[in-house]
Amino acid sequence: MGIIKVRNATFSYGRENVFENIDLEINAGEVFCLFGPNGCGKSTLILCMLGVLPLSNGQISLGGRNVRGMKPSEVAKVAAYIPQSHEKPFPYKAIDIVLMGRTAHTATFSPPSPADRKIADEALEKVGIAEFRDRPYTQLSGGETQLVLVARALAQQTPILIMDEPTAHLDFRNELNFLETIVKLVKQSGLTIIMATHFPNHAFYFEGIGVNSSLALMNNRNIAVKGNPFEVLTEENMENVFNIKSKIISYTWKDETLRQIVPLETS
Amino acid sequence: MKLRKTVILISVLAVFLLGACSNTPAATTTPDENIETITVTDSIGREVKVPEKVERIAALYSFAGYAVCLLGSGNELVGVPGGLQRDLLLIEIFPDIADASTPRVGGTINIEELLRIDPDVVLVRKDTVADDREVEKLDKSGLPYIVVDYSTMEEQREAILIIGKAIGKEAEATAFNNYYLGIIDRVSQIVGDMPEEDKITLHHSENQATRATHESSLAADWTRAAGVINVSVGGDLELVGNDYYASIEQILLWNPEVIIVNESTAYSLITGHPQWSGISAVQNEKVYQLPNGISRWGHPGSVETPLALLWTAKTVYPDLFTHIDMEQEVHDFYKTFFDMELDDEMIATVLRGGDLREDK
Amino acid sequence: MIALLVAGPVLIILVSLFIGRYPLSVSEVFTTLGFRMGLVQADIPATHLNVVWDVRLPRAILGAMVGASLAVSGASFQGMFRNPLVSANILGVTSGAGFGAALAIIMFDGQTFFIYLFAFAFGLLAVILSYLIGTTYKATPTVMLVLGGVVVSSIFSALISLLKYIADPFDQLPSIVFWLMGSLASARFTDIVIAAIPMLIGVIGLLLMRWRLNVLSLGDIEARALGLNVLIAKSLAIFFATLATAGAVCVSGVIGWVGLVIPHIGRMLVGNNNEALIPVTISLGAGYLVIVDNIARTLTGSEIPLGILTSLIGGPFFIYLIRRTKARGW
Repeated sequence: MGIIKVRNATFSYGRENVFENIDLEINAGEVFCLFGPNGCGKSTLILCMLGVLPLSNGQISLGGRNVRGMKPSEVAKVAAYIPQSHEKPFPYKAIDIVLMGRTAHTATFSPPSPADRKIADEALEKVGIAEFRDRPYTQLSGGETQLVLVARALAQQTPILIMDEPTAHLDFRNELNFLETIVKLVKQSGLTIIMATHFPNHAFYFEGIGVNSSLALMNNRNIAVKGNPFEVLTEENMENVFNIKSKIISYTWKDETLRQIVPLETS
Repeated sequence: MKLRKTVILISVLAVFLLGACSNTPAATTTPDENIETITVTDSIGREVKVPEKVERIAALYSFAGYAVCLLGSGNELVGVPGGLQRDLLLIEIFPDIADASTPRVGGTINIEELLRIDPDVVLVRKDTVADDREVEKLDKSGLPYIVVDYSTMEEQREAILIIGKAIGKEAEATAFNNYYLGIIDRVSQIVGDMPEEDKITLHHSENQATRATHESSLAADWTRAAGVINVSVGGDLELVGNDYYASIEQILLWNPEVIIVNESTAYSLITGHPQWSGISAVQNEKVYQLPNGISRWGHPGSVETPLALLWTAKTVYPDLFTHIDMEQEVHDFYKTFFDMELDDEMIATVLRGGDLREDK
Repeated sequence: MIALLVAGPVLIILVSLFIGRYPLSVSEVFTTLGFRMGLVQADIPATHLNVVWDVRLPRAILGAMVGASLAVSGASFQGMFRNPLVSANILGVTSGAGFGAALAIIMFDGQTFFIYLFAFAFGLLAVILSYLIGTTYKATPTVMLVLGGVVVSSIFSALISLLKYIADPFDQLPSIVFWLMGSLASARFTDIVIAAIPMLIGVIGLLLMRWRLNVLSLGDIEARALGLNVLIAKSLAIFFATLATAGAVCVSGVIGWVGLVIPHIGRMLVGNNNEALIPVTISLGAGYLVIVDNIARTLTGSEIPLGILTSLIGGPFFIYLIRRTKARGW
């Protein structure tokens, strides 16, 4: 079942270990939230999963293959990446950016084929931003840009999407809109989603809306607890792992019992 | 044209103002009181006291170096321009030149080096004293320096005489100048009265194929004396660095009947490059390389100007100069002024040009 | 679109056959061309053939190739370094190549092969050095890269001056000086064939991988995550851009600013997608340099070296760009 398996993974810059001895298994078709404070090593772990950074020790397998032995184009056919922040180097049109999702499918000396262009258009459509197609993406808002990047990831046609704090720069409404888009995609096409986040309620949101989801708490270079959100996001765990006193509250909406975690004080 | 005039006007004004504000070269220098001195008036009218007996000479540009050698004092050169060290024939006559100091490199004087070699007299060109910084260096050094410059044959002879006086070789200088005048006279007797329309048109390529004679240069004077129409004299030329160039289309338009060059690379370019192929001189195989003796004949810094003049006249008008035996002329010139007996083979080498100057 | 991009420079090349100091009427030029191509039987003066076929035509063709090379390498450097303010010139590639070529003129007596080899090798060295300096301070990569280029450029300019100092003032110096200023004056067809090899490889290489330049411009991490082997792609792009630049420098000396001005005009016209930008840049660069060269050789009796004119146009344009960059996030 494990579409991504992380075994005994350690990564270090120089002598400093960013994380060490991490074991994880992410199942196909689930939304996996990697929760932890800023600077705990989430982004680094994600880049290691994508083969962009090499592990110092241990191994990561992606779709059954050791990511270390895969070419960039092979990785990009299995997992797509949505970065935390995207620097806009030139005012490309939205469609140009989405089309770049087809990189792994084109040869060095040839431009994308008409089929590639069709896939890119469909990806825009799927995310619901077809009207932005010919707009310079430098003129789009943060939320819109994030959706363009999701469309680009979809154009890669991979079974896995890996996102690094995708909602970090979004406002209240855009954050919800983004999450709804993700849910829609998972339900439609059975994607596996890995999402680094520092909002624990994202995991409750996915669970509550009926998507297979799991969660790992990361702190002090390691994974402290992992499992489904209901088991992991507890008041005890928040206290033990992050030294936060918190309260889980539950409420009913549209006949579903939903949960939220509310932070109370640091201890 | 208007732009150019403006530029010239501004330049003239600038030079004038600079001249007015800055120290003009000191008119006299005062060497050691105990040494007998003579006074020499240089090309720009300065009166300079130099020792009566000069034993160490620094020549800071090529003409001065050649002239000193011509007047028989080559062994007294302690400072030379670098170019002289590649003139093979000259080195053969005055081997010490090869190891002499080169106190002026890249257009500036290394004053410490100049002081180290301690010359009795320094020979410089006008462009050196046009630079206030160079003047200041020379003035502060206390070395007597003589400015020698020319842009006509007459001024060139005057320059030889000035150098002759300064280094105690006035008689030799006068002898050379008489020879110089004699050559001009011999050529003038034949081509002097030639009507303009009968004269042959000529392009004088200086180092680079398209680098041409400017109207206020020595070459304009000696090519005129050789009885040819130098096509670029009075023409529209472009200044690049310190040199004047013509465009290839302009040369095609002039369509000279004869081309003389002083560099073998320019020779092969002109005779081999398709752009030049339609020019009358190329089509009729009248492209000639100027000879090269102790220096490149006809070059602005050369002392072999009279030979260049004679050779050009004979080359352009062979039928009018059948009585001139160029081999004999070459032999006599180097015998008279350099006390060197050239064999036939060497004379042929000189006349062929190009082989006696070492590549760098 | 493609037809327009090809027709533009071709038309400009054709027009330049009618421009020059040598007075030739329009019909004379046509007759000469027709005769040379075997279409017309006529008695053509040899100088007419020279002027049209050996002076103006090769010069215009070479000018077009040089312009295309400099422009496309500029656009590519901008893309791959994600920096709108760079070009081969600003990154020190042209000075590096100029130094290499000047070194080869002195060391190998101007043998063509070594001139090209050295120009390329030192051009490559220059861009690598600039890049390394540019990565020193991650906070301001755009400015640092430009500064790195300035440093490298000035080092190589100083080395060129050193070479001029060493060179023979009579023989080698004038040729180095004149050549560094940039001129297409003595271009002949055999030169074109040799010079065309590096320039065409560079230009065509960049043209083919132009879409990859878009991906490269997203930065190393994203480009790699999208499936690009960044090291290979970047190396290839630098290789082609440097090859094109070195080829151009070898025939025409250091001609500044084309690589900065032209890509930006292209960006104004068709936007920033390299798929369209690269072909447009090639076409504009080719046309631009031929026009500037036509101006250079008709303004005066001889020629104002091209480098002077392109700098006069390019310098102020650069200032404009910096202002624009500041105002509109470029």
